[in-house]
Amino acid sequence: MIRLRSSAEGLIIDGTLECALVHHQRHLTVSKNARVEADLQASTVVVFGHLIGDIVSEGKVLLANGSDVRGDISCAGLFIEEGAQFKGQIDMGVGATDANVGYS
Amino acid sequence: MFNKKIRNDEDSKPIPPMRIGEQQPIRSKNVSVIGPTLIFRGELSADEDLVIEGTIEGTIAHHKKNLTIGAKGRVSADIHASSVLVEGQLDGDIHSDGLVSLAKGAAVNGNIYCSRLVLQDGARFNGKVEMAKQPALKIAPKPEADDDSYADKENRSASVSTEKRF
Repeated sequence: MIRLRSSAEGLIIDGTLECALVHHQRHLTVSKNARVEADLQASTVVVFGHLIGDIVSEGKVLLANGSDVRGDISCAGLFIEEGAQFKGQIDMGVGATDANVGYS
Repeated sequence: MFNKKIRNDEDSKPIPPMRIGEQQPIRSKNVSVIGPTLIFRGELSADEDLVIEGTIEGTIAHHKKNLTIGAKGRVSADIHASSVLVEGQLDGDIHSDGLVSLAKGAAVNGNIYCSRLVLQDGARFNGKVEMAKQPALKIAPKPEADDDSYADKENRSASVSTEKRF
């Protein structure tokens, strides 16, 4: 069971999703009750729920309170709230404002 | 003159110790400050709250207390402390059984092993994070099973460096 909601702002994943890659040019949100096993690629990524997979973002990534993320994060800016669970590798490149971040 | 008096009154007020979760530098009374001009090489251990504004190279064993690396602090050391707040630069691992906070302006290269982590917008971090599950929220899984499931993940994402320091 998966619900995908697409809006002008971006894509919201709600439900259980297993796939190789979810890509959105702008904004990806993993909602609170979602369980996602996939790599995520987007300009900005916000995780409220469960994620097993890597995040690659040219912009900012937010792991909200209550989120549980296992995977590697490659991004320009990262914000982890207290109460978020995370295990993995973080690569923020040389400069926090440098957009030259991604798989090499 | 009147303004000066007000400032003195403020200075004489007791400064409350850092509460857990508060994103403030530790400024309690029982705190040692390593000043910006101080350079230390070796193993540093303390049993009181510590604020580092200087340069430290080596290891910092600082169990059960709070450690702050101030904005001017430059630390190349592995850190063992109860809770850690980083506002400056750190090259090394953080081992904490409490809260680790990387504030805006912090630059950290190393691994973080903690139970709670707060990374503020504007902080820069390169390294691995391992957070122990909080018992209040979930029952902690067996470490072996945890590592196995993550090993599969590491094999799959070969493009990201998975070199372990330990």
